[in-house]
Amino acid sequence: MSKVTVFEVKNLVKQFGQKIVLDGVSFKVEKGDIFGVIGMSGSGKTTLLNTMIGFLDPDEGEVFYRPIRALDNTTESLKLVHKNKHEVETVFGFASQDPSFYLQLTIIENLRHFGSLYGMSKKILNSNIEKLLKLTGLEDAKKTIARSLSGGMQKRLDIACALVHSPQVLILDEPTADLDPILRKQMWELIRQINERGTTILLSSHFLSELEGLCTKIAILHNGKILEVGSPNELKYLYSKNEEINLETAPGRYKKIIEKLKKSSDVKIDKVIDKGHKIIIYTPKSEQALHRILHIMEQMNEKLLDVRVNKPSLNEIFESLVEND
Amino acid sequence: MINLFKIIKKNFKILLRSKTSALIVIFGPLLIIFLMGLAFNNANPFSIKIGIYSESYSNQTEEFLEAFRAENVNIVKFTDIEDCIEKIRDNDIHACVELPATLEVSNERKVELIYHVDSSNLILVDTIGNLISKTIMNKSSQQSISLTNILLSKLEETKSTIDAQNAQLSSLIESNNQLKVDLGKVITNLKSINTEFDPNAYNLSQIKEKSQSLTKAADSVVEDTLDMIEQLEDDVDDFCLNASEEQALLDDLNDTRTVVLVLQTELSNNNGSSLSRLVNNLNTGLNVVQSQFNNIENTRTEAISSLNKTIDSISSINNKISDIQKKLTNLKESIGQIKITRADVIVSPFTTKVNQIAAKETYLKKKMPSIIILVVMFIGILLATTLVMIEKKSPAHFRNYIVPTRDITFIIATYLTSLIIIALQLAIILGVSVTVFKLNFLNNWINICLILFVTTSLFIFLGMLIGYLFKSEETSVLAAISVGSLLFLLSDLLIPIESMPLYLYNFVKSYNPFIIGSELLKKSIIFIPPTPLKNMLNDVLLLVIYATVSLILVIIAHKLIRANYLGKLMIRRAIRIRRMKKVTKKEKEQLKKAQKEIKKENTKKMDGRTKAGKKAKAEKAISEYEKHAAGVYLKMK
Repeated sequence: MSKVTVFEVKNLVKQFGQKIVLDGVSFKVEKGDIFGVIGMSGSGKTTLLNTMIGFLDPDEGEVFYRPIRALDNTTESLKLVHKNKHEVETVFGFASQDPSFYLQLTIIENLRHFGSLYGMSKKILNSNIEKLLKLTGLEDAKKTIARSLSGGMQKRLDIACALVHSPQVLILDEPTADLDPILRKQMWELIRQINERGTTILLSSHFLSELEGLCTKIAILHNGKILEVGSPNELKYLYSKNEEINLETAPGRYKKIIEKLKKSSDVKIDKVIDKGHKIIIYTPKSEQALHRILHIMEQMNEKLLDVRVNKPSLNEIFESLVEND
Repeated sequence: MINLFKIIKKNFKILLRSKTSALIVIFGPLLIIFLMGLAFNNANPFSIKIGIYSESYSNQTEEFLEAFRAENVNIVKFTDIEDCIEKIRDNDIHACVELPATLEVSNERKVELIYHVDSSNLILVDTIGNLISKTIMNKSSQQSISLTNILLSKLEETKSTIDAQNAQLSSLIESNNQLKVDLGKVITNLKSINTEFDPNAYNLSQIKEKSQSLTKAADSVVEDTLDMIEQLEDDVDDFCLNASEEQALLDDLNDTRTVVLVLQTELSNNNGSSLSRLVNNLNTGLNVVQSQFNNIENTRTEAISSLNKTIDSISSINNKISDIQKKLTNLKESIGQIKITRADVIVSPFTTKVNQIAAKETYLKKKMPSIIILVVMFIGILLATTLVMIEKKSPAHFRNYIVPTRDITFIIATYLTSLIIIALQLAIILGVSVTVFKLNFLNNWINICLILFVTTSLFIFLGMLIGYLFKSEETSVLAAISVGSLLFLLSDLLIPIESMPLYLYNFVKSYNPFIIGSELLKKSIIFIPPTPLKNMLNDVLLLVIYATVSLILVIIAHKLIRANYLGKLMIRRAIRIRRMKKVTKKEKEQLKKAQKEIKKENTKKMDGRTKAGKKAKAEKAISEYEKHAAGVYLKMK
């Protein structure tokens, strides 16, 4: 059974002055997806999202959306975003990179205010707010002025504001930008929970490694063009030539280990990343390399703490695609 | 509609959350009005101090001082004019009046009063000038009235004298006229005397001629008779008469001849010489009489001529007397035409008594319309600018663009928020004005509300436009204050606009919305009776046009800002990314340092420990490191 398309972008072109920011972008977002758009800063992610929600008008191409009433009726055709701006605004919830709410109002006041702007009844709005406060973990702080909230709480409030009218699609532009690793982890968890509640999520980020475990589909955007669209695994298997060995030893004389490893003629090492407490080794022949590493460790009296062999991360695929472009 | 209400509610919450701005915006104007009310709610110049200098303080000087005191002015006496002027410079007194030694008026000298004032104090100089002028004018008027009364009484006397003289002249004219009549009669009598005498009328020559011709005729008759007798005698034989008869006839003829001859002799004896003589004598006598008559005629003619001249002279005199009479009458009439015979009216025919279209009010009440519009203008502009800037600078600005609520709803919400706040302030101001200052608001409240609504709307839209046009809060507030100050300075509240060049005056008076609003409100509050709305319709319409144009510009500005919003967002983000990259470099250095330290510690700890123990310790160390790294990251942020 085919999935229901909630957003469809067709040959989208957008330029500011002479600069082409989006150049023939096409993809579909299906119901229930966590659709990630990855790209470097300035690749056109924000422009793409803003054009999709109708805030910007495309120069060429079209963006379609599925009205809420047609979510279970696949026979009904999609509608053009730019001809139904007010309707489409009820379909999606949008949280930009910068939190967008009133700093002088409390959490609950913000939610009530934005909910009322969607023309919701008080009963439904209160019910939604209650659920959202629980979901975002802001229940205890609901009467706190937004200005006094921490960065992570402000981000969660922003997402709550975007979800207050129960949109079918939540669009998040760089949701974890400016957040520390712990808060980033919490944010991804929140996004996962929102998706589990049935909300389709479209997000952009440049934290590729974090999107890998979260997104069901990823579009790689570079210089205004979509280089590839697919699930993380599809992309990995499509583009991987290396595997990565995550190695943690004690006392961790990684430089010497790498030197000795590179001297081995039967092992090809493409890239090594020293993370201080561990190293990541990229090699097309992980099994041979692992044998060799264990041998070297024995020679050096290095104690093994942890070792894992993985397929390459999205980071590597992204770098590879970008280099080829 | 619900959206509109919610946005207005939110605006109020935001405004009231910032206690300082709420105090300034909401209570500031009320405080100003309250203080102004306390300070200026009187009609008298209680605080004005005037210094008086006179060489000698006579009774008349004291009268002058009393006149000043009657105006509730504080009087300070000086014995040196320089001291008095110095006190003005020190701001101890506001003006100095210099009185002459004597206040007596004469033809040789007028009483001159000099007053010194600090002209840099624009408002006070007028007040003091008016006050001093008023007091001096009062005194001057009293003096003038007294002098004028003397003049008027003299005029009355003159009128009476003219009346008396006119009566005498009239009697003189009458006498003259009688004289003229008498003389006329004399002339008539003289003229009636017949002095005509013509000797020829007696025809003496004709008598003479007739006598002569008669003589001749008689002679001729005699001759003829004689001839006839002779003829008859000759012809007697022819008559066939007997002799007797012939003789008888001859005898008869002879007798007749004899008679005729006697007659002839008689005639020849009386041949007219004596008659002629008599006629001549008579003629001579007649000529003498004629000469005498001629003399009489000449004398009479001369007499009549003289009498006529006399009559003419009398007429001329009468005419002159009449002229004098007329002139006197004219003079009297002229004096009589002076209808205003009250000295006070002559001295001050145009008094400065103000007709009660605007009753004598306190300073505050007089200026209340302008003050109300001033409050409306500044609060309207500043509040609307602040609300727009709060919205523009709020992180929520973007979310407002992507909610299904129209832009115009946000614009109207901002407008209504400002309008409600100003309406509340106005309600308090007008309430206090009506109850405490007795302002005539209730009599004409519909017009006043309409004017205030239109004026407030205009200034709110103007403020919103400023808010949309400027980027930062500081510049927008500065612009709002500048616009308000400009409109305020170009009004007559501070400096009389009449002092401007005519073209500028006309322009400012006709087009400055602050002046228009103030004037409209003044006409509706101060004037008695208030000006009807139809007479003010043009000005009201002009304000409506201003407000409409401002609203259209606000809508355009809102659209433009929405269109540019994303561009600004992208720029802001680019700047932040650049900044982040710098931070990341520092962060990396910090992290590297931290990693090295942890590594060293781990190495030390791992020495001499069991494999399992080592692993556990290593994991703990790694966990600590991660926490430490996270801490470093947070610190960097």
